[in-house]
Amino acid sequence: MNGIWPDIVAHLPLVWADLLQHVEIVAISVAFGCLVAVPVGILLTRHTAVAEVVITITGLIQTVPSLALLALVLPILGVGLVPSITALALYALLPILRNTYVGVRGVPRETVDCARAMGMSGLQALWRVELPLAIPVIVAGVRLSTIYLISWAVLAALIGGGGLGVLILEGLATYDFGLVLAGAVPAALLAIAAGFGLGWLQRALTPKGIRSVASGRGA
Amino acid sequence: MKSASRGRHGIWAVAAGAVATLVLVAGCGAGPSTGASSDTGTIVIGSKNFTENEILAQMFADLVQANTKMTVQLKLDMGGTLVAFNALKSGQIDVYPDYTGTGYVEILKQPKPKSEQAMYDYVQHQYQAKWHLEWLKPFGFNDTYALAIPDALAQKDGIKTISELVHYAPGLTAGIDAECQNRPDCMLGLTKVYDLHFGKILTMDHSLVYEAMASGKIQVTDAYTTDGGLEKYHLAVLQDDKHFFPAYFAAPVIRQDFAKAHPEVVQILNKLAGQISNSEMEHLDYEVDISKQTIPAVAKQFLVQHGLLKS
Amino acid sequence: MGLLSFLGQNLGTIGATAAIHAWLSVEGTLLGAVVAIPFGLWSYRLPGVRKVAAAIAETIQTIPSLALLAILMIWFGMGDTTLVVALFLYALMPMLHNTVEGLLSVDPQYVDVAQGLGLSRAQVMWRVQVPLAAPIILTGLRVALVTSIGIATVGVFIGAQGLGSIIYQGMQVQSAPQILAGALPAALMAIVIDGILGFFAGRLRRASGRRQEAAMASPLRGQRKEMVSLEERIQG
Repeated sequence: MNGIWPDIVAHLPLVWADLLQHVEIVAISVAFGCLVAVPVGILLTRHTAVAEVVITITGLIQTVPSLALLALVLPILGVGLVPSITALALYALLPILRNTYVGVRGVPRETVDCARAMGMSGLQALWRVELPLAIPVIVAGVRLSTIYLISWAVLAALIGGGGLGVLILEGLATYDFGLVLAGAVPAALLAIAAGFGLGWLQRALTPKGIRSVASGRGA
Repeated sequence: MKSASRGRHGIWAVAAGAVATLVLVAGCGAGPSTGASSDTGTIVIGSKNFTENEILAQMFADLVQANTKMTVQLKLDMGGTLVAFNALKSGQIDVYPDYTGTGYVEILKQPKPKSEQAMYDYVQHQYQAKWHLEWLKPFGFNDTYALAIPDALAQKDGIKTISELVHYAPGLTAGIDAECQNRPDCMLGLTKVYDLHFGKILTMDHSLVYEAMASGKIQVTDAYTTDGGLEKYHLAVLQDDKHFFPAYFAAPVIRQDFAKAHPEVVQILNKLAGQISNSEMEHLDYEVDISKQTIPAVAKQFLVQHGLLKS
Repeated sequence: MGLLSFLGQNLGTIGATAAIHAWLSVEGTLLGAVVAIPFGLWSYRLPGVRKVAAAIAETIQTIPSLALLAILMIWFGMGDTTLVVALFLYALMPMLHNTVEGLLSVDPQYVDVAQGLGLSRAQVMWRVQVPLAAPIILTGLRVALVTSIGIATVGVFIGAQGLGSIIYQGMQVQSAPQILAGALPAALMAIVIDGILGFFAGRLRRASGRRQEAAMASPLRGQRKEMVSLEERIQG
């Protein structure tokens, strides 16, 4: 193991480049996921019959291993950054969609009725009452999505998506522990940082009214 | 109160029984097969994670299966060279196909490739002395690394050698697999010896590079000279004008203790000596990668055609 | 060659590989349970220990699977062992979290009554608290097992056996039927196990009465619980 530290240091420029690329892939995929999933999730709360079906289907898709989804994208989109982002964005949709649906649905009926009684239109109630109350759950979904995507983006290195997976795969193929660590440790740290960061965001965005209740046992 | 608690115990029993059954059933059918390969009667054959190597390993399996009563375990697609090599060293597998150049440069880390025979003798000697591993007789073909570019590009810019490519490289995107990028006899060395720097490198599994070439996503790749994709996609193999790449003659690498315990296996595997020419290996790779035939089918067909297996 | 004919021709191999995959997943998960449940039973009333353990387990959870496998490979080498160790580590959080949550959700009244009846600490634990917490603990097991099945497919890159090898080879020869032949059994196993354990958790919950429902009744608590089980239902 002696040669590892010099190895890692020597590889630092590569690590940085791959780290940035990794963040890029994940960020774009999550952004796309939110852009599609949040509106659709809200829409589904208005059409609950369809919602159960959609959510069940998305749940089923999520049981398909991520490696398989990345592989199945290949014949359609080929290799590279775009196919990787596409596959990841599709995967990102699912947690965010479900949590948006659950979050908005979870707002107590009385609260919404109250808002409507106060004279708000449907849209206003959505924007000023339902969404803010649902935000903690939605952000939890985004957080989950992000953490999973950081993990799956590692596999994107197989299909030309770049990222920290490149270093890990190189290291695994050539039994080069320094290289493995140079890829795996930043990936782990990235995921941990994202987890904390988005967890903080989740708490920060929780409307003060329910914050004391929600923090009951340290979710 | 009493009946309620009895009912609760009943459910516990059912739950425990279900979980136990699940575990037992899953365990009975399978059980992990970690490499106790020194049992008499079992041979564990490994391969690296690309087509050619898997075809060769499949051939080993077919031959041993047909000519002995041994139980054959085939572990195809184990991973890169070092994965297979370490599995062999640790006894997880008994034999796998490797290449003299790989043993010489990547594993033994020798810088200057010698002549083909000298290289073979050297790796044989070192492998036996250091790790009690043995190289059996080579199959005949030399599957070397090469840089390949589309024919059209080669003709347009008159690129015939790697040195000529160097000038154009910063404007090109290369598709290189993970192992090559970290090998002294591949990208690591190419960068030094030729001062070769591509504009962009996309890392991808070797199996994907030819489609990527075809769709224009990459313009250069680390080809194996027997790859089927070279022919199918009209690629030009660049001349290694600085003689950087060693020869890579393929042969079975086997554990010495296993070889001593099973001399009949050694005899069987040596039947493949000199049986596979370059063009034949390329044809086999083509059948699998391009014509999408299965590896067992292709391996069997070859062996039958060469009279090594009864159909 | 279509999916059905591929399955037809390779049923033996696929079945054997699926069985190994299941075995490895179960092995890792049970090891995690064997460590996490007793630890949860001991530490649930010690907030300091509990929080530190939870933080560690959650941190491990977020580590990308191939990264963790690659790091563990350095010590445990290539092969099934490394995969099982990784699955063990990933199983810790759901098991610990749900064990603690389950125990904490037991209405203290029942503990008081039991102690009032003269039962010892241990007896109270085993005859009152654990049975009442069982549905939630079982849910943790279910989540951990389903997650393990997914993560185990990545094991192929560190030389472990399992359905990942079928998927990877399918990717290399770009055969959608082969990819699916590896992916669908994994998905199916996950769905079936999710269903079976979900069913048993439901039975246990009903058997232990309405108390759990009451505890989880407040909308926000219920939401959080759903969040948690949704979270963990989704596997990587």
